[in-house]
Amino acid sequence: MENSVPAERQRLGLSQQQLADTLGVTRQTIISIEKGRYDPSLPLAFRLAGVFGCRIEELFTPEPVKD
Amino acid sequence: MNEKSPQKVRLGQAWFGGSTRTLITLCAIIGLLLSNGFAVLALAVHDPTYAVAAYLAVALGTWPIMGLLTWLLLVDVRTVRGPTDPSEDSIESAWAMEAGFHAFMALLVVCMGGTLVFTFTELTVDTPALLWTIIAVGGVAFGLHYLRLKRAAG
Repeated sequence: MENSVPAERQRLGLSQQQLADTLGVTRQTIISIEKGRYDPSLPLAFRLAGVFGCRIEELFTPEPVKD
Repeated sequence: MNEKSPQKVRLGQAWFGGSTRTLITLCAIIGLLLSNGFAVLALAVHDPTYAVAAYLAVALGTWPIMGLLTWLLLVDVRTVRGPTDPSEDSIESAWAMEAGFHAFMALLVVCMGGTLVFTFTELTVDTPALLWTIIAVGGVAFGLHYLRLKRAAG
């Protein structure tokens, strides 16, 4: 899953730790989401979208299906 | 968002209140009582030659584990720095799930291998040794896989 979390976070001027504290998750979780190594749960994805003031589908993009 | 959240500290505080020091002291005392109980039980079951040494080994060996289990029962997780609420929303939880799966697979392999060995050979092993081996294999496999995942994440 590709995402624009790093760009949105930088747009708001938040550090990874600040975003983690806002969401109530660990900094390692934010790092893993930003690197695309961890797909957040739906509630967490909604909370992320809420912090950035956008919709989930604007934040996360599924990788194209390969034939 | 403005809801007042409890102060978060490294080792947390008990759900019934008190400082971290109170919690740790309680864990040490209860853990010591439980570990001594284990030692008494072990001696009652096995009656080893070196009773005092065996008692001390079991009591001291299980003290940290019993202390940790007590901490898990008494701590208010909202006061611990790091954990998330709900815990499913964390990469650490995902690592634990995956490490648990690998530990289970390792146990399956060890049990199948052990079954084959003990079926086709005349080797024997007593039940406590077998149980401790299974526990050790599960624990080590879980720990190694968790650390591998954590290291891979950077």
